[in-house]
Amino acid sequence: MAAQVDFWGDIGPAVVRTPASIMREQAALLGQKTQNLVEARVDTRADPYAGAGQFVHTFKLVVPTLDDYTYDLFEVSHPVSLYPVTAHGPGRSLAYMAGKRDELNTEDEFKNWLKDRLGSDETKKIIGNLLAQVTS
Amino acid sequence: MPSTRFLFWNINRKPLAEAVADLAEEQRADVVVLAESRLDPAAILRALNTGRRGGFHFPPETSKRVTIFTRFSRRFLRPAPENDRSSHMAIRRLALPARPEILVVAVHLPSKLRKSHHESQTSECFEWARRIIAEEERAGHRRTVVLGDFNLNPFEPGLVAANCFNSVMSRQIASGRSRTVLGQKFPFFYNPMWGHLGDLRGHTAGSYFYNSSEHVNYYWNVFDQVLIRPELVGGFDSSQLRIVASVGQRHLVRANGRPNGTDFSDHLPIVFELVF
Repeated sequence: MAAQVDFWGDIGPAVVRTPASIMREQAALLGQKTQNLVEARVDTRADPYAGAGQFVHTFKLVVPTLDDYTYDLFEVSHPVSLYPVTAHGPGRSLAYMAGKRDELNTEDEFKNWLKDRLGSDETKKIIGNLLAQVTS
Repeated sequence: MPSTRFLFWNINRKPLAEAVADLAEEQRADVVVLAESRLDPAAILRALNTGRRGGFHFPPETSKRVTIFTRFSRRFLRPAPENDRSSHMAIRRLALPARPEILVVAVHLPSKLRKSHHESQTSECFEWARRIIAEEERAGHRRTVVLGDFNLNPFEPGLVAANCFNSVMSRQIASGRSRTVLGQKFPFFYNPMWGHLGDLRGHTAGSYFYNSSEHVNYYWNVFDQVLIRPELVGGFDSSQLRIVASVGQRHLVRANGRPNGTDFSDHLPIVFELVF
């Protein structure tokens, strides 16, 4: 009997930082800034609209002491090739439908977009309001 | 193997967030369980994470009667399916990376003062013990630790009876894993709090003091306890189990050793460590 031939070659994880890992890294930092009163997490799912091959990551703000109140801050989606990343509001929002989304072609572009999004006045206001809700 | 330190305190509805935070820091607690807390969990979390303290999280709440905080990420301490939010008992699965999962059961059982019959307490213990066993069967292991205010002494039927908590004073007996009564097997708990009855260590002869006018009066009680399944007993060091009488410079007891229920709680905290 002839020996089996392995067509697969060596398989291992690609040495790249995925959009999800970059987002999770930032999510883990939020609790330290809020005494863990507001935490962040990233949920990943397959995109039911764009067909197979699309990943969707939702960046969520969670308030543990308010019965795990959760606010979806934004979503990004990308194909299995990781880039380009499409960033938009949570879910299939009106902004998304109106074509208001950002296309980010590289890791650096995505990191710059994420930095702007997390450091924006809008995000700070949302987190500030959640903290006020907790401490009032 | 790494150790995990637990702190339990019935704070008797007192505003003791700062004392809890100092105690957690001083005792290097990884899991903090409070009973009779009327404080906003956010206020306790702020205190726990203020200044050089920190790293505590508030995992998904699972009981109105016990409040749990942990230094571990909240995703590692999840409510177990058998948990019932309205219950006197919170059942959690503590699943830490590269460590075997354990069940952490936090209890605050009904007070004797509000029960007309002690038999009612025993009956309730039967039901809670049954639910713990059901959760263990669902989890596929018996690596379980139960901590809290049982409102029972270690020698009372609810803690001793085979079909209730079936807890014994000897780890050697507990190592037999279970006892069979009328053909039915009941798994043991080891109850190390037996060793904390009485004044061998000083004036503080228990975790709770109550003086009644009844003929039978123990004065001192050990209502605040930890029960450990034989599967975890190997990682339990008796010398690390303590009834705590002070936090920093603050004394939780008066000169006669009894809890200072005016400034603190009428119960004293307990701390212990598990290696698993």
